[in-house]
Amino acid sequence: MPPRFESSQLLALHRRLCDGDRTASDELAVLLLEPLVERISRQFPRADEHWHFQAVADAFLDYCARPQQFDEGRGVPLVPFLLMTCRRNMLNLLRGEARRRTHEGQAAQMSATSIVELDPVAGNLLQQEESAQLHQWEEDCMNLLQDSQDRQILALRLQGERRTVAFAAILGISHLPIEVQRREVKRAKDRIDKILRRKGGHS
Amino acid sequence: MTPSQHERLLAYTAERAKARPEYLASVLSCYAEREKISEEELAHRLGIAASDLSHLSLCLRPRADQFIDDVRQISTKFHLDPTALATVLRLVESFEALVVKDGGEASDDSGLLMAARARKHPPAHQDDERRNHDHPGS
Repeated sequence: MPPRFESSQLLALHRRLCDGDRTASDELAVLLLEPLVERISRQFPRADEHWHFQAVADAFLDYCARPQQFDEGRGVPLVPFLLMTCRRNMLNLLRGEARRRTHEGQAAQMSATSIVELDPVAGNLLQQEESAQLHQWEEDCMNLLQDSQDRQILALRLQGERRTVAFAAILGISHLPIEVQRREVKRAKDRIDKILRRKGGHS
Repeated sequence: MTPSQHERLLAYTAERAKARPEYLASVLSCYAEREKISEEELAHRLGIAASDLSHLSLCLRPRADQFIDDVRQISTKFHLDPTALATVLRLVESFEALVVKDGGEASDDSGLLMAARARKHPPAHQDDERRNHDHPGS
């Protein structure tokens, strides 16, 4: 991200927000929205632009409404802090979309079978049951993982993502050589699989 | 990213802010909806350029306990008439209070907002208001 602002400038605006300044949010929007969208677009290049906008806008509005959630004493600068929220929003959006597609796919599959053609009511019930089962299985898997990074990785896998760079972004190792990224991503996936097998009997 | 995309992003965020009561966007949106006016007309009533509406919308709503100071701060930044902004804010607050009091039953009753405006603030359109007041039984 090209440096379009100084860290001290952002910190000053953050403090103004905390002090109750009503217009600091607009000034921050001018400075931050674009760079945040650029970053998120790079991390999720295949996602629709509208989702980039939504993930960033919601993260930004959440922060400005409650600026105290950012603790400058923790040593994490404001932009990476906001990016974490943007990424979380983005993953939630993608997860929701993945579920929607899965359910649509199942619905299409079910409607292609004769039993559904003969008995739409029974078909609907089956679709609902299978959708609920799939949803429950995904939720169970997520609940078995304590680490938020692991959950993000699993969410991407459930969406069918296979590219190393996408997982490397979550692990924060995009700056490392690709071979190292592959190794670390595989290690993370293996660890998650192991946790799921051990705790829940899933693979 | 081109400037037009930048403006698009600001406008999008301002649009999302309409659903959040902490932001002026929600107040302005409520006012425009109740008054049945366009964003251009809203900007005109506030005395700002339509292009500044996104920026104004992204400001935080004035706090009740520091209302005058907050309105003054926003007005100074956007070079708008503080009375106009305060009027909009108070009208929307009146409406919100009525909705809460009536358990949401007033949501479709624009007459309540008109009554609130007539009692507390000088109307923007004197003639229309006078007609309402002069009407027997009003």
